[in-house]
Amino acid sequence: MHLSPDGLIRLTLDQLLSTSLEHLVSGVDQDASPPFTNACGTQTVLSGYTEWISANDPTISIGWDWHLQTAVTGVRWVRVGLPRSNLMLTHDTGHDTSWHGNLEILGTVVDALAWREILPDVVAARYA
Amino acid sequence: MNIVTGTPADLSSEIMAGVARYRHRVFVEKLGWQLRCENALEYDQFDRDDTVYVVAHNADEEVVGTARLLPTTRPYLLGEVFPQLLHGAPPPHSPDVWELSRFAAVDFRAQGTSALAQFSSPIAVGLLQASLECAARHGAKRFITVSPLGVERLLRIAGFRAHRLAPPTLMDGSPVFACSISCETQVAFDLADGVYPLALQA
Repeated sequence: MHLSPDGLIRLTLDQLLSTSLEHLVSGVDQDASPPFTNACGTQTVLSGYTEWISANDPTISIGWDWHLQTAVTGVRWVRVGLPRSNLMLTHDTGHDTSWHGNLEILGTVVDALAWREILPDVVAARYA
Repeated sequence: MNIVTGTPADLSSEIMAGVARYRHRVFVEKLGWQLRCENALEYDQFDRDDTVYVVAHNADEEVVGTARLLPTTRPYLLGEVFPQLLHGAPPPHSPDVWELSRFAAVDFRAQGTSALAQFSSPIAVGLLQASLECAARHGAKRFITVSPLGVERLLRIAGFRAHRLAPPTLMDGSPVFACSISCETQVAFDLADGVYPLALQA
C-alpha cells in the first residue's frame, strides 16, 4: 500500500480487506427531499452520504450515498451509486484496475461493512 | 455563453472588475463567506499577475461564471490556507498540477430556493470544461480544488473523473475535501440534457 503522486492510495484487494474501516461522518441530503408536508400518509424521502476511514497511514477514505427505502415490511438502507474514494486497487502484477472496475469492487467491499447497522443511530444523533 | 480566459494582462480592466464584483456577489453576499473586501470587490492574495481567469458572460455581457487557475509551483489556496485537508500529505508542487478556486456558475436571474438549485446551471459544466481545457493549454494534467463534499457527487454525475486526495474534514459543521480532477476527462453526457452539477470550489 502506498500513496502515489496523483494522490491515490494504491493497494491490492487483499490489502484492503485486511484493513479495518471506521465510520467518520454521515449526513442527510438537505436539497434532495421534496417540500415538507404534514399531510398524513405522505411518504418520507430520506437520502444522504456516509464516510469511512482507516486508522492507518496513509488514511484510506471511502464514502457513498444511501437512501432509505420504505416497504410494507419496514425500511431498508440502500447504497446508491458507486463509492468515492482515494483508492486505486491494483492487480497482483501492480497494474491499476480499470476506473469503473475499481469503483465496482469498492462497492462490493462497502456492502460488506456494517454501515446499515450503525447509520440509524448516527443519523439520529446528528440531527436530533 | 461566451467564455474568455487569460491573466489580468490579457483581460480588460472592465472584465477584471466584473469578475471581482461577481465574486463578491456570490461568495460574500450569497454564501456569506467572511472575506476581506473593499467596495464590494472580492480579491485575495492569490489574485496575482500570473493568475489565469476563466470568465463566462451571457448575451448581455453580464458575468455568469468565473474560475481562477493557479499553478501549484507558486503559492495557492490548498497549500497555503487548507493544507490540513491533505491529512499530512505534502501539497502538490508540479507544473502539471493546477488549482481551481473561486469557481462559481450562478445565474442570478434563475429562480430557485435551495443552494443546489442556485448553483446547478447549464453554465457550470461548460465553465468547468473550459477551465480544464485552459489549464491543459498551460501544461496541466489535473486540477486540485477545495470543495464542499457534495461537489464530489455532482462531478461524478456529470461524468468528470475526479477523486478525493484525503478524507473529508468538517469545517463549520460541513464536510470539505481536497479533490483532484483529471484534465483528460470527457463530459459523458449531452449538455442539452439539462442536468448540470454544482461545481463550486473555494
